Amino acid sequence: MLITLLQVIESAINEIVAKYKKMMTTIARNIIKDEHLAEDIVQISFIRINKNLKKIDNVNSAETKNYIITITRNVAFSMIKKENKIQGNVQFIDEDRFNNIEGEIDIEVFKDKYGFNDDIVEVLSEINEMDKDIITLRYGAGYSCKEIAEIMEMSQNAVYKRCQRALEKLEKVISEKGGYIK
Amino acid sequence: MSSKRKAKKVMKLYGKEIIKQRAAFADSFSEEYVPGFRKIRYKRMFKRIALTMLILIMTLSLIVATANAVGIKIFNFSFFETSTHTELINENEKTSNGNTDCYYKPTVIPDNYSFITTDEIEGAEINYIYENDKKQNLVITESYNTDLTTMIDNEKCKISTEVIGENEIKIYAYENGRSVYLLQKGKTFIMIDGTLSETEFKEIITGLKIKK
Repeated sequence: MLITLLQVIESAINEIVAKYKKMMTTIARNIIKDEHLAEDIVQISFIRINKNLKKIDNVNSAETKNYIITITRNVAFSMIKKENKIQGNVQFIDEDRFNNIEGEIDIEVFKDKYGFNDDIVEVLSEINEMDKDIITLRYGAGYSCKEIAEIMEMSQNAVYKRCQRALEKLEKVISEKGGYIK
Repeated sequence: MSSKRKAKKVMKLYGKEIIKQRAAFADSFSEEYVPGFRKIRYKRMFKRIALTMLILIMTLSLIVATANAVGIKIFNFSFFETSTHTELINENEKTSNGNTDCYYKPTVIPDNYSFITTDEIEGAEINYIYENDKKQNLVITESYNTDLTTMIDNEKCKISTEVIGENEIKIYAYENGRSVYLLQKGKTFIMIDGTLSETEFKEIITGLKIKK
């Protein structure tokens, strides 16, 4: 039975590698702009995915695809921070370099689809990359703060605070300016 | 509807929309999205295999002819160096059964590093992974009885050889502070990769004890 279980785990990770390695490399390369580091990011991401394999029910589901993209992005962002530290750079990450990450939401299309006003769109546009991943896992995929903390390798408290911060900003705009939802 | 509930609803829509976009992005890498792609891919794959085989045969004949001049043989591994990377090929005699007695357990690890996990392919390879408070990784890879071919970056790095204890070590020291130490204990090939000082590397190497 144990052997069967191990075979299932191995086949799941093999399937993930076969299906998503190319996509992960593309994402990593878009973020880090370095071929060798992109490969490192993909390898580290696979180690993290393997560690949290129990969180994947269906390799082909939209949630799994988001989960894999999130881990790859997270590892890439950590790598940028690490590289900046090694080079002694203390500047903050330039958010502009993430503007062309593929597979991301077009906020204007999203606004028109649901009829949100500009104030809501402004709050959503200001959400940084890490918070965006956390919000997507929390509100989009329905993961608990504890699960997100394991995926993002951060404290549960930090996850909760980041969600709350974004929610409070949005709540304030809606209560003051009346965000419109169709 | 209260503003709090509205905010949560917006967040849910936002989160679900991102998942939808990301899933579509992931699907764009899938073969089924391009009709006839699979056929073309097989053709390409066949061409690639044929080309790789040809290159391999040519390279092998060249290596056989000039092995001592081109390849540097250290331990039981052959190092083939290019301007961008070093390729290591295991020339250990292979046996049918893995012998995990030949693994070494790291007994000395720098204080600021904590153990994260081990990743083992039974009878072939084991990775010990550590991390410090700056989220820097220290990875100790041990390979035994395997078809090992490892690539190591040569760029922006100083390559040297040193003897620590009874071990001959090949050192790749990168400009960014990271180093890779390669050594062989018995038939086990050991690679230590991390951002550590020379002393710390030496302590790790001398602290490697046969795993019982």
